[in-house]
Amino acid sequence: MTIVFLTLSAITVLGALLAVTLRNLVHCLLALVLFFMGIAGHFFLLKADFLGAVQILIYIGAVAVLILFAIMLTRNISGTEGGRGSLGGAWWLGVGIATTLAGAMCVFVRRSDLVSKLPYGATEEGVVKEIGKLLVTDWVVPLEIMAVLLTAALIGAVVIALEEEKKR
Amino acid sequence: MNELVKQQWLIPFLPLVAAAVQALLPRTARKLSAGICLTAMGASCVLALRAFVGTLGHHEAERAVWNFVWFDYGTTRLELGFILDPMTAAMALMVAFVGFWIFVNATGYMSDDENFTRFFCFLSLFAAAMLGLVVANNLLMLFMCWELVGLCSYLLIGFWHFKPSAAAAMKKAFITTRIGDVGFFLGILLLSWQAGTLNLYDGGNGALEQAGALAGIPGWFGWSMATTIAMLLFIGAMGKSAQFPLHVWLPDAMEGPTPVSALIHAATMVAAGVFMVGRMFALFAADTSGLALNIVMWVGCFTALFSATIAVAQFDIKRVLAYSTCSQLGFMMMALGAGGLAPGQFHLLTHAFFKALLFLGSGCVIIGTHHEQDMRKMGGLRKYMPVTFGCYLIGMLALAGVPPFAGFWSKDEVLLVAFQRNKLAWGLATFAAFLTAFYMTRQMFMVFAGKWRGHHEPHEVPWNMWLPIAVLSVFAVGLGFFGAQYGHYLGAHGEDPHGKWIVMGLSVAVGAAGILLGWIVYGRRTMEHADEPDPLAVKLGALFTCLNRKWYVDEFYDATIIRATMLLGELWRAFDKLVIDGILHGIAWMAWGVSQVVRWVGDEFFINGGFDAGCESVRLSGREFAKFQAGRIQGYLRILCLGTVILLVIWYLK
Amino acid sequence: MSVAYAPIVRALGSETALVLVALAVLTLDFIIGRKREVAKRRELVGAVALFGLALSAVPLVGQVGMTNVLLPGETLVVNPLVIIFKFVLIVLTAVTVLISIDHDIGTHVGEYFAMLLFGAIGMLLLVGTEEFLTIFVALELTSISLYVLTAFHKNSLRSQEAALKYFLFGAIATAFLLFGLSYIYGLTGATNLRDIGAALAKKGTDPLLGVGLLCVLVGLGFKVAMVPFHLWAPDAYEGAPTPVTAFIATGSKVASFFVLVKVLMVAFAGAVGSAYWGAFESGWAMVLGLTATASMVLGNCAAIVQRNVKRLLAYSSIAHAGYILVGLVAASSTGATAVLFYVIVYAITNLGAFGVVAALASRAGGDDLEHFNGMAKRAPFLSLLMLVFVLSLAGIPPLGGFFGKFYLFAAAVECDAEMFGLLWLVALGIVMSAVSLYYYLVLMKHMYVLPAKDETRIATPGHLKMALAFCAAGVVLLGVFPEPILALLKALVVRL
Repeated sequence: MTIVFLTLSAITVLGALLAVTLRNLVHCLLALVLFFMGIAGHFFLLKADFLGAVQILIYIGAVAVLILFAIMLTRNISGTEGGRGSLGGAWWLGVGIATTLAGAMCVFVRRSDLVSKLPYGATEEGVVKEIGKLLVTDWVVPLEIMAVLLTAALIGAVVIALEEEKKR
Repeated sequence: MNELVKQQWLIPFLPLVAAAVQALLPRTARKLSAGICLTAMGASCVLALRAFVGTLGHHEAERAVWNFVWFDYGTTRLELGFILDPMTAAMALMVAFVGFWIFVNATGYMSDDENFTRFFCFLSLFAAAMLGLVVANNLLMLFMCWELVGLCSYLLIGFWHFKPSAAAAMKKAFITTRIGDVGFFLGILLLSWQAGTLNLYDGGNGALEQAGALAGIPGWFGWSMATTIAMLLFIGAMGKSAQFPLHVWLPDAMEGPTPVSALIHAATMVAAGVFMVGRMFALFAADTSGLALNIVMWVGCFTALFSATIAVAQFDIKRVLAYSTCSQLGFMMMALGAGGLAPGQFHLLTHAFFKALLFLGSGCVIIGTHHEQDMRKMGGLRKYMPVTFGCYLIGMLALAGVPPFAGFWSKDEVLLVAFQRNKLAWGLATFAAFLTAFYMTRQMFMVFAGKWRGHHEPHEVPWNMWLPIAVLSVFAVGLGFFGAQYGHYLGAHGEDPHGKWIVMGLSVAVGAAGILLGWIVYGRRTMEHADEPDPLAVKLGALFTCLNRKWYVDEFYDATIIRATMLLGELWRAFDKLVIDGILHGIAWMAWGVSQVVRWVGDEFFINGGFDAGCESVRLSGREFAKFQAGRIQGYLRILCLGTVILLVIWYLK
Repeated sequence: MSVAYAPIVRALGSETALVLVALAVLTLDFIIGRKREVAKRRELVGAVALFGLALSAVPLVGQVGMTNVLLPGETLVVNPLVIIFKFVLIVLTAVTVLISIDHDIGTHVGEYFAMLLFGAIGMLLLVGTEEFLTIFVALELTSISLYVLTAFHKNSLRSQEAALKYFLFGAIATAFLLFGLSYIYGLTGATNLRDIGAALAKKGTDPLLGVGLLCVLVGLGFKVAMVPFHLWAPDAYEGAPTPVTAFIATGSKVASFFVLVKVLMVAFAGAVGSAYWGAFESGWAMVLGLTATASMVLGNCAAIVQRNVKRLLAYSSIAHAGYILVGLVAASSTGATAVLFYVIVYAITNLGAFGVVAALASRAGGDDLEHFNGMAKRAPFLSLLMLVFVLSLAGIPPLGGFFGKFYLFAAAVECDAEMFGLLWLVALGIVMSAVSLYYYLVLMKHMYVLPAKDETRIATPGHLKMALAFCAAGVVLLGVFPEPILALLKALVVRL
């Protein structure tokens, strides 16, 4: 179990790192897909099969493809135009701080005596049905808010992409 | 009295309304503006007089208060209130009356200023705040008015903000008094917690009525709670009433228009501190050890002497008066500290009249001599400005403590109470009184005697400027006779007149000696030219310079506190510079060094090709790091994470 | 497993109305607006939005009778406190709409008002829930609307840059929030505040709780712009169209502080810790005590050197977040009351201040301090209103700002009557408000004292003046008669 977990985690972290450091946008996207795969793997590992499947279907199947389309429809695939990498000059500073943050959190987790007692994984049958029911009963409000949120995000995205109209 | 106290709120309210109306008036409505202000102030004056008359005839100290609930806040209930007792009535009458005549004088002084209405707006607001401070029966309300007074003085001192010295002075006054206000505010907080109320008098439950109980509770620094609170409050009073070492702002405040000087230095702002100590006297006197009173006395005594020495060596006509004010405030504080509530308050009243007179008189002189303030460039004004001279002479005699003028009686009372309390303090104060007589004589001779040393012919000022000083001079002569009655009026009982005649005799003697010495030094042979050295400077040499530079207190502050503050600012900057800029520059320099190498190598191997590349790399790296500094999002996110890390670490450690 | 949907619909009356209005506004602008001038479109669409906001306040009236109704999983809560804050938010949004009508917001008028309304919906939902998932989703709705609104000056590079920074910063903060929530859920197995509170009370403190709580504080600290999670604020405030700045600085803050109070007082009541001098203990009070200190010091010090009015107000609002946190650190119901009262006062004041800036800056040629020289002569009425707002921010009595601050500090002193453990924080707050007076007076100096280059009068439409005068009246009224609203809040907070 531990070896599987470590491998999956390594893949996930590697994917994330590559996604933000590579210069070619298409390569970035592929790295992102790798990252999504890693996450999906973690879901399976935790026996949340449904979530894992959803992760693959939606994120890799839809989101990544959408991003690919967006990249191909715009110029500059190879990333030669943008100048330097997106990490900024003092990237080592960022790495240092991020490592420290992760380290500090690890210390906290290590000190906790609750970790071993936490429930691990879900094994119920018919999870999908349960989730479906919950979404329209107990969690109907957040679900509806999500609908509004998506509408707002859609309109927002369109507004940002649109050019200013000619002033009348 | 119980009915009258319910109308006390009108006294500050009328000038407040006047100020509000002024704010809305167009700038051209000068006559209307002045009219509204004077009417409001006059009406306040009449109301104050009515309240004053109401308190007369009660030989015992009587006090009427009217409290009302402003709002409830959980268990805390905030009340405000007004008070009417002899001290309030006399003070309110003085502020309103002197204020009224200062307003009249200001219509002349500011007549050709384009911001006439704004000036009167501030002036009215100032008067309203001061009157509110006087009639308040609640420390919170007192504090609010106190702050408002501070704000107005800030605005008024800097009224001619185009003068850089005025802009600097307004800042100095504001900051210095703010230092005091922090202490005051802490004192109020502490008192409110200990007494459970901020009402001063409340039928036995007021904060002052619990002073005795507070004296029994241990406070900070091993003092009793009453003394702790009193000391915190006294820090506020020191700032407002310009007591050493917070006195530095007052002389600089001379940068404002002269009616402002009169209003700040005579009737209102500086009196606020003394008045507050008088108002909270029960708290200061509560502790039987007398520690609080002793501190007040010695601070006052030292300020009295210290400022008097400085006043001897000043050349600016208003600066002499300013240091004289510091010194006189020291006298008042000393009287209060010596346990003499009545003498201190009485000196405050008489001083208000003759110091307002002197300031307005100096304003007349300044206008009459076409905005000249250096006494060395004056002289012989007696011939040109007879009315001003007459009034100024009365003011000078009153300040010098010559009988039968007002200053003599009140100063005598102050010295007497000091005599009874502590002989050393009395001795020092008597010496300060001697200096007072001396420097006022010096001023008289320099300004009014001899021949005119300036450029343009001086002229007498219009009636609306000399009338106020004429009116005030009547009081400067006559007010002193009420001295003995004032003690009774405030509720003090007949005291042992032990040493009374010695003190009075000595006080007259030093006054006379001071005037005589002044005549010997400055009167026998008056100055001929403006650039002639001061006769005293010739005799005293370096000491005179030292006095002229005010004992170098400002320089001392510059070298210590201000330097330290700047240093802190520099450190902050240095962090910015060194940590962020340093990295930037370091790397840019490194890149430059590399480029030098590249250039050198380039020259050798690629003929100039490498040079361009090297320059480009320097430019690029500089720009890159400039971007980092100029708010790049990566930097922001790093700080966000760094902050989280620091908080996590603190969490872990605690 | 069945749920009664009727009460949900009733509880969501205002939000539903606003969603419909937002869509209506979009459609209307698309159908009728296209052919008209931009200014006309703004008036038309703005009027509809205003009407919709008024309409959305109606369901609130119907909810007054519902005391503490909890819907499934406490994803929806209706009680008088919530109703008050929803009302306040609707009013703030309405004033923002009024300011926007008069402001150049580009040509996408319908979209602008729709996004504004979506943001408002997010805030209303945020106020009306006691459950972490809903809080998260509502927070996202608010944030995304505000990111988009920030970018509405399409021709201004600064606006675009500000939006991107705001978005990236917000995304990271959200990541922290979600990460923290997952820990909290793992620890307690609950997502609603009360159950979390109960579970934590049983379990006691655990290092894991520290990570979870801190991460939640990062997420919410970003919304309220407290140091060190404030860095987006100056850029976003400066770059965004001014009405949007006003909305970010007021509506979003009211909602976020309300949630912060609820989260800390209900869910994390067991992990208070202590910020008493010399007796620091791990817990949110300690963390907030430190961030409050940093916010007050940094906000005020940085504000002094600003040359741009919007940036100045941004740093001032960071400092104010610090003052408000002082009330929270007290961790008492008095403190919570003071925080809620101050947030209302602060929002009205800042909305007014930004409103004046919006009205004047566009006509004076810019929003640097120099552009405001001599405003008192050019626009006397708005300058007078600005004076009121600025004095209230500086905490001059008898304006609302003074009392708000007074309660905050009073609560902090009161919470430890023997040792005055929070006196250091209060003393710092007082000293820092003294510092703040300096830059507020500098602004006033520019408006009232310095001469203007161009002395022409600035005319502003009546509706704008009315809206801002309404804010000023609110500031004065809350200062002179704070009692009614304070008593109400006090009574309601006890039942929180």
